[in-house]
Amino acid sequence: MSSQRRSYLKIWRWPTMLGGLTIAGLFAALLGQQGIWLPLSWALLTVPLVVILACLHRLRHG
Amino acid sequence: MYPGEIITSMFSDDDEPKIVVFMAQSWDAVRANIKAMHWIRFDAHTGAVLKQSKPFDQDGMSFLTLMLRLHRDLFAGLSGELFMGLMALLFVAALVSGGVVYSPFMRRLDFGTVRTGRSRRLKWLDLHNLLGVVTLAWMLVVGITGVINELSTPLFGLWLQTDVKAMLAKIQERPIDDVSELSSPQAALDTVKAALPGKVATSMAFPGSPFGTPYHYVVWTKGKEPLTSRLFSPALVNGRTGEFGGEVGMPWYLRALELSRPLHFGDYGGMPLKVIWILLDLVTIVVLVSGLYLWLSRRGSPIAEAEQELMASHVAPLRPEAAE
Repeated sequence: MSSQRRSYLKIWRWPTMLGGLTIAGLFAALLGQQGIWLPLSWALLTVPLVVILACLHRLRHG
Repeated sequence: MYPGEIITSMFSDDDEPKIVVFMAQSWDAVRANIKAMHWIRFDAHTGAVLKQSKPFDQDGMSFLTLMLRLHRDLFAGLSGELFMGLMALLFVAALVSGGVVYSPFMRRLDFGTVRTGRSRRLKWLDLHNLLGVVTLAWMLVVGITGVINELSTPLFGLWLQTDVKAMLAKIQERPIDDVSELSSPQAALDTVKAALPGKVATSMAFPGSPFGTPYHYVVWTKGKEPLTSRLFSPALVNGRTGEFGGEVGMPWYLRALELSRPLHFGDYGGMPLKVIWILLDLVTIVVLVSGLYLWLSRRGSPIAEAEQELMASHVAPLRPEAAE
């Protein structure tokens, strides 16, 4: 944590990226329905969960 | 198996080769009580009977049906649906306002920071922000599609009152009320198949059904592509002559409704997607409960001042020298 102020762009960089991956994951399964699209959808939608786990892990271990 | 009874509709399962046939004593019985119907499930290959139901009003409710009804309408019919729809709308409003206040809170923090040293409330504020913003897109999609789903009854009603009513008003025939007048249902299916080669028939309502018309077999079809297989359209076949009566166009608001269902329930991408859905649901519950905790503990906290300061830093660009 620092006292430096962050721009909107910086604050929303991660959330926007995660939101984009989520939307892509939701529509990959809806429009794909088969082949590579389903695993791709699962992978994309798992990213937000992994980010949460990573942040919580960092919280525990420094 | 049931001489003297009528077939009201048939439905073919798209996951397994099964055909479900719905039956009732008579159309009058159905009109008096829609739950007087019962169904028989057949193996689509051998024609063997797999399972039979009791009439719906004598059948117990399964656990999942109970949960679905609680979730959808609190057992209160249309008013319950509209109430839950309003709740979903408030959920979406809470998400949007949460997104708006996320920026000022994060002015001085890196993404994902959770401050543990200072107070329990501050820690939960950071966790609330982290979990909320990471899953924001998913929660918005489920919230918005939830609102749309709860509007299904009025939307279908609107369609029936406008397009469908206008279409039926043109027909000058006598309603079919005797089974002996009916043309062959198999021929009706074949007619639809021949007329709409790009479509698959999923179900048909017999003439007289409250879900059909008094004159037609209504054959519900869907497309064969991933997207179009979500979009259903009814095709009509004259119940006396067996003549093809055309396809009924579906308005955009019912198309939106059809796409909202999978995106709300998450049941369109196999078991892994359902598991992901559960995990995201759990995260959402933590966000909701922590938000409630933060709101309840908002007074008398030393952090309240810090929040004020954070909020103030958001408007500070007007006076740059006061910002730091």
